Amino acid sequence: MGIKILKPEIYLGNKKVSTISISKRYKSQIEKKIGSKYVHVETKKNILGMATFVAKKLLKKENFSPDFLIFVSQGQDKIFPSAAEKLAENLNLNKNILVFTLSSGCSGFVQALILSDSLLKTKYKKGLIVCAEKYSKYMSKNDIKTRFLFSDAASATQVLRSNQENILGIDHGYNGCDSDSLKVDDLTGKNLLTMDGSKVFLFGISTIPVSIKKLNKSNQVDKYLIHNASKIMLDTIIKKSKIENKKVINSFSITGNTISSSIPLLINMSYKKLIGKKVLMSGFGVGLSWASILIKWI
Amino acid sequence: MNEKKLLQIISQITGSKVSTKAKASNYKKWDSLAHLKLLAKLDQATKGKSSKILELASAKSFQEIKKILLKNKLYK
Repeated sequence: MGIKILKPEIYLGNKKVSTISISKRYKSQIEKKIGSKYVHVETKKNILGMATFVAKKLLKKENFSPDFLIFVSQGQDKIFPSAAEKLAENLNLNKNILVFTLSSGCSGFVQALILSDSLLKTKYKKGLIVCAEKYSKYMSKNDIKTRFLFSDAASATQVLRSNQENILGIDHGYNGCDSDSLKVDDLTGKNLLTMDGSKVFLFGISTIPVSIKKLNKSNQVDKYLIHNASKIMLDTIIKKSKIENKKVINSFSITGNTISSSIPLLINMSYKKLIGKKVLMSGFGVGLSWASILIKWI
Repeated sequence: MNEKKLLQIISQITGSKVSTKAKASNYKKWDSLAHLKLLAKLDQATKGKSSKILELASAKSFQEIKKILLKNKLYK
């Protein structure tokens, strides 16, 4: 048995902000390093609101009732309870389904796919993965370099059991020693996001090319959906992995780094082109962690 | 990696010839973007080995980079 991934629904923060308008001083850096001309900031909804909105839109369109809900989010509005149950309530889902939150960032969607695949091999036939993150609430107005990198976003993706085994490979891992490289440390009372960009960059360029190589032993991949952390990160990974640029989808023309919704956004942009193809998805970041999956798209 | 190669990499990102006393704070062009480029070039020159050393992220001078590479047996 395998997994069928349907076209995700995407929600981007309601305020579209030109990255150049954040800081003209860093114009060259924005173009070469970040790659995106815009970021999206959510000024009205909280994380649960964004998640509810995007999932409702998908459920209305697809009219289905999932057997499980995985809510991928780190910046929930409360320390506890987890927002997954409230999200399920807002969506009026069946009361007996499996509902839980996966606290993860940019690796989260792929981690949720790996879990979904396992669940779909048991009694569950269909699932819903909702990702939502609102980093803008943790950013200082003065932290320009972070403000032109991240976008607030949410996504909802339906996954179904398939009789065709289509998972061709999985690779994942973590580096807990350097987990503080990207964090919101609530104990400080300031609740602000801090990032050691150089460390995260080194983590990405050291792990993802190896992960890609492991999964693409026979050079079989048709399309790559690699987390769009930043242009310089993606370009370096492509170069180091020696993969063809045309096989890699990017969303920099639309928005910045959408964290856990980054890969759903890439799927949304290229859905028709993926059908029947061997697609490698790779997410990495907060944790530090990474998760990659090679799948024959059905 | 040797002194000549490291000086060459730093010169590429600063856009001028540098000495073994080179520090990021002395070069306007050695900003955060240039530092990422430097880290990528070091990684290429060490055949993918230096990117595993996350300590390099904060090394912002010739001497600091050399010290870390030496410690990790990537500098002759």
